[in-house]
Formats: sequence, structure tokens, C-alpha cells
Amino acid sequence: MKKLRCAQCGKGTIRPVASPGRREWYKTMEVEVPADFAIPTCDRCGEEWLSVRQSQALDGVLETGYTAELVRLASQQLAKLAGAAVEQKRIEHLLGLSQGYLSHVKAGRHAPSPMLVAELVLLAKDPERRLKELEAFWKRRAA
Amino acid sequence: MGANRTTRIQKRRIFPLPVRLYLVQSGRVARTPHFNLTEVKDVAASPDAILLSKTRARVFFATPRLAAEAAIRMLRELTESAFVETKFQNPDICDVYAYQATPPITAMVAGAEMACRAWYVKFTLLPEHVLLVSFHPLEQPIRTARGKKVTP
Repeated sequence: MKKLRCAQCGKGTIRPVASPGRREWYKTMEVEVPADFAIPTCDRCGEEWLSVRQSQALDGVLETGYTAELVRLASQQLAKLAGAAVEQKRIEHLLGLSQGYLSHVKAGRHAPSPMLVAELVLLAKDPERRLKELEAFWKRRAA
Repeated sequence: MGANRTTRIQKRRIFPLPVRLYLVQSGRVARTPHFNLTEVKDVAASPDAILLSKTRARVFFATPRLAAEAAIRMLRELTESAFVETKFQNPDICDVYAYQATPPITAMVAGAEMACRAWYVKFTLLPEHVLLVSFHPLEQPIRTARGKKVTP
């Protein structure tokens, strides 16, 4: 890519920059951009400029990081729930998951959906109370 | 002198509609874009030609790929009737358009997905690139150079 002047600040030059610590919004959260992924960046104002091809490439690496982060967050919440002596099959039953699904998630064999991670986060905040609320909710539906 | 006057008028869009129409008709503000739209579309046809800024374009989409796809679609569908004004963004010249997407494009606004029809577009053309300086949902009503009011 030829050196271009940044159209945002009008003074800096756009050059490919690959450095650690950069974060990019992806779907529901910020994900770290791999340190070796070069993004054309203004050397003065820091504005990042991506072409269509680079956007697609960045999407690929962010998807990998996003999935890994979802697995990590789900495992973290499941560990919290296990710490509160909540049986995994009870959670699976209340969330309408098939038995053993959460074990697959913990082992990294299934990528959890962001919705499942959000549900686990809410459950882990106050496990007993939240689970009782859920049980009461499903019982009311059944009655 | 004449050019300075035009610049000043273009920068200060404070005139009521009848005055602005008079200014347009008398040639004091540009009715046509600075960059030929066909030329812009020709340059944008290459996958490496469109460059999207992060702060005023990419952050309004859930993923970089969605931003790129929306930019391609917008540049393909953009017509001269959506032209608003030419801005002098020192030292670059940028054309501003009020793009109306049908069907609407999904944007991320304040962390939530929203289907947005009206979009603010600002770009500059370089020999091999279209630098998309702004591409985000319209934040306030805007009037095209032809006098059509576009609302968010």
C-alpha cells in the first residue's frame, strides 16, 4: 500500500502498524486484535483505515478471539456456579439445554452463544435466588 | 475573492431555505459534487480502494466485515441527487452526501442494533483510493443541494 496522508487530521501519514494492546469492537464486546495483524494507522492522530479486504481478514481473526473469549467467560461463570454447589444438570434443565451441553462448552468443544454467556453471568450473580426464580417461572407456565 | 466567498458560504450553512436556494441558483454554492461520482465508483470497484476510518465509520457496525459490505453497497447505490455539499477539510476536499438506504442498513448506536435508513457520508477521492472519512447514521436533519430534506 502506498503511503497516504490521513484525511481525518490532514497531516499524518497512514502506515501499517502491528502492535499489541489494540482492541476492536466485535459483535457484543471488545476483542483484542492479534499483535501481528497490521492495520493502516495514522502516525499523528492514530486513526485506523481498513480496506474491504483487510476488514474481511480482521473479521476472521476477531471471530477466533471472540469465540475464545466466550468459552473463557462461560467456563469462568460455570466455575462460579460450581463453587456455589449448583448442579450443572439443573442449569441445563432450566435453560433448556441438552444434558451434557455445558460440559462440552467447558471443554471448548462447543462455542457458547453470547446469549448463553449472558444468562450464565446473571445466574452466577446470585445462583440460588436466580435459579429459584427460574424454577418458579417455568412452574407457573406449566400450571 | 469569489472562491473565498463560496468557501465561506459553504462552511456556514446558516441560511434559511429561500436564501440557500437563491445562493445555489446564483452559483454561489456548489450544486454538483467536487468529485465525479462515476469516477468515485470506478475507483471504489477495487477491493483495496475503499478505506474506512475507524472512529467515524467502522464503530457504527457490529463487525468490520459488515462495515465494508455496507460501504460497498452505499457507494454502488449513491446518486448525485443525494449530494449535500463539498467541505474543505484542510487540506483535503470532501464531498458530503445524505444516503438513504432501502432496505435500511443495521447500525450499532449506543451499543444497540438499529435499522437506519438515513446515513451521513463524507469521502475524499485520491488517485487509487476512496477515503471514507464518515459513514454513520444521520444525526440531524440535513438538506441536499437540490433542496430535499433528509431526516434521521
